[in-house]
Amino acid sequence: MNLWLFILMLSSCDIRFILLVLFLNLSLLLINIMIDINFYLILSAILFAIGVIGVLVRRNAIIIFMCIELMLNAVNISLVSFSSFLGNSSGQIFVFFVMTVAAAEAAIGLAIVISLFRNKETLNIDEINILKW
Amino acid sequence: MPEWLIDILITLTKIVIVEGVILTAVAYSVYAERRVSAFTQNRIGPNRVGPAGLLQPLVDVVKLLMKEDIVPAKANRLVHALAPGISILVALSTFAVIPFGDKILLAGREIKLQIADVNIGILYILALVSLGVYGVTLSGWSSNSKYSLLGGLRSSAQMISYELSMGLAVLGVILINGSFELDTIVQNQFGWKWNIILQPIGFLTFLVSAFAETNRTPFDLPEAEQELVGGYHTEYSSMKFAMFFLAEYANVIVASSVITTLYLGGWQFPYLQTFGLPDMLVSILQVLAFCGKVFLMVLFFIWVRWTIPRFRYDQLMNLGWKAMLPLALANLVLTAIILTLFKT
Amino acid sequence: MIYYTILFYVFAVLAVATAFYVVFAKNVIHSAFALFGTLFAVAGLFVLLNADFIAITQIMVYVGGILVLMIFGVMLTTKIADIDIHTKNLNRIPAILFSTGITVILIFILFTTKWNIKPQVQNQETVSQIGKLMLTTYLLPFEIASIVLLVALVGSAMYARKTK
Repeated sequence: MNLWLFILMLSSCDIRFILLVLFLNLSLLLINIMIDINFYLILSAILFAIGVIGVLVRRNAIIIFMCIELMLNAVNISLVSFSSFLGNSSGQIFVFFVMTVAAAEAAIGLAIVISLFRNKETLNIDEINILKW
Repeated sequence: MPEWLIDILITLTKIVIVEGVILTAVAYSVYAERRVSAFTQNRIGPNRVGPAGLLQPLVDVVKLLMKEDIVPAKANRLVHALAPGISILVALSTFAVIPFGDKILLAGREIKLQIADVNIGILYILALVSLGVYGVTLSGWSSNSKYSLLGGLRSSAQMISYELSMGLAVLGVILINGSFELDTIVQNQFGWKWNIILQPIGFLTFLVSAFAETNRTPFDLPEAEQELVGGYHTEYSSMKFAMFFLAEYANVIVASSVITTLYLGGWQFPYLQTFGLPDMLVSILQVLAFCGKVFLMVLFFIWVRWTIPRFRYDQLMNLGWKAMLPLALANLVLTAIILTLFKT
Repeated sequence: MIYYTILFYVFAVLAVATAFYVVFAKNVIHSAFALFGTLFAVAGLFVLLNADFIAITQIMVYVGGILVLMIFGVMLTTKIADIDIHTKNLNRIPAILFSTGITVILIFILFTTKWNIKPQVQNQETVSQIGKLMLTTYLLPFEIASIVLLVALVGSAMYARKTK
């Protein structure tokens, strides 16, 4: 960070300006780092965690489906990045199979959701508890 | 000028020219539809604005722009506004991979007459076709009207079903050419070797699926006027309606171009290179050949619309799943067998 | 190389932001829209990773197939004006703590492992490689995948049918 910019930043006392300068500096810093495999893997971990939050927090069956797709996508990112950085296409084939299973799962899942909705008029999975003791 | 700037300028010029030509063609295909339908029904059709009614499309656009934009109460406003945009964006961006001519030499620089030469062109087209469902489905859902919703539901089922036979029909062409690249596919269709001759069953299935994907009669159930008032765009007015309207005709033109590229030889004109004409003239004639083929296909679309009545919903699904899908599969197996037996 | 970096950040931020919206949106259809964005961003990341075939398959299968099915499900299970399609959230704090824990553990593992990486090869032909691998080394999983799809097709058709 330039010294005069730093002084200007502190002297201006405007929080928006300080944030802007900090943001610009951070992005300059980030842009100059070479993107390697860790970036993709961290992104994949974050997406996976968001998916986990969704499955734990939401109670709508369709949203839970979407979050499962999010987690599968996170895994796909890590598989493709391994495939790309290790110079081996096998990872991409695994992604292909993951997509196949995801498609099958979506079809079956939607069929189950729709027949559940026919019987119970709800998608809240807390109310769908006929198998529960 | 640096090299990359020239490349960007060339690509931008190509995009502007192609999209301009397509938008004009869309406007005039509406005019063509009205004239041909009038001819079919023994009427005259629009003939007042300009010579033979040729300025009618411009007037229509101005009229639609001036109308009031009505959004139904309790409609989902965001989705309601996004849906026509998705429709037209998908329709127009399909054209990015379609080659409309051979390479030309201009000022010592080789220019490909294709906006983006990607090595998975066919998959790109299929992916965009599968995105086309969104515009129709979301507009149907967000309008908060039973007619729209029925149209949207019908269309999503119809388009997903026919996508399958479309993809399977294309696989025959891919097997013959061994490439996803549209440019290679067109290059291989020199002379009499058009894919329509090598792949007649595939062509038939692709044609029928293309009619279903563009929601044209005999498969226009999503917008069946007599049953659903107007289908998925019942609740649309003004420019949003115009965008759906434009998207429909853009889809027809794109479908015609894809059919031309895959099955009717693209820009190839049989034995044109053997006449010994100057290179520039050959290139121009090839582009004209492409435009001519697309024009004839569009006329075919219009002709079918005003000749064949609409299918019933169960007939549509039966045709898709019990006739087109097995036919496309049989075509694929047959092509594979013939290729393994006779490929030199 | 700077374009590559900028594109990576654009897609990464888009993916994470829309994923958050998927999880926390009150309206189910807005969640579906946000998922549309996430799937596209992930497809963009695949392109950056030289996996163009996988990227276009992602758009075809996820965006063109699975997400349409989900929107279809939303449309079939909600009447537009009558039923409230907004759903509530439960147990936010424990869930966020739990998944933050997962992330921290995952990132810790990432940084402590020595990856045996090679430099990326730009613009290599992936389609033919994938095809060859799929019909030689991975032939059995490929066939099993086709059976899985067939069973799913038959099963979902049976499930959704009106039983009489």
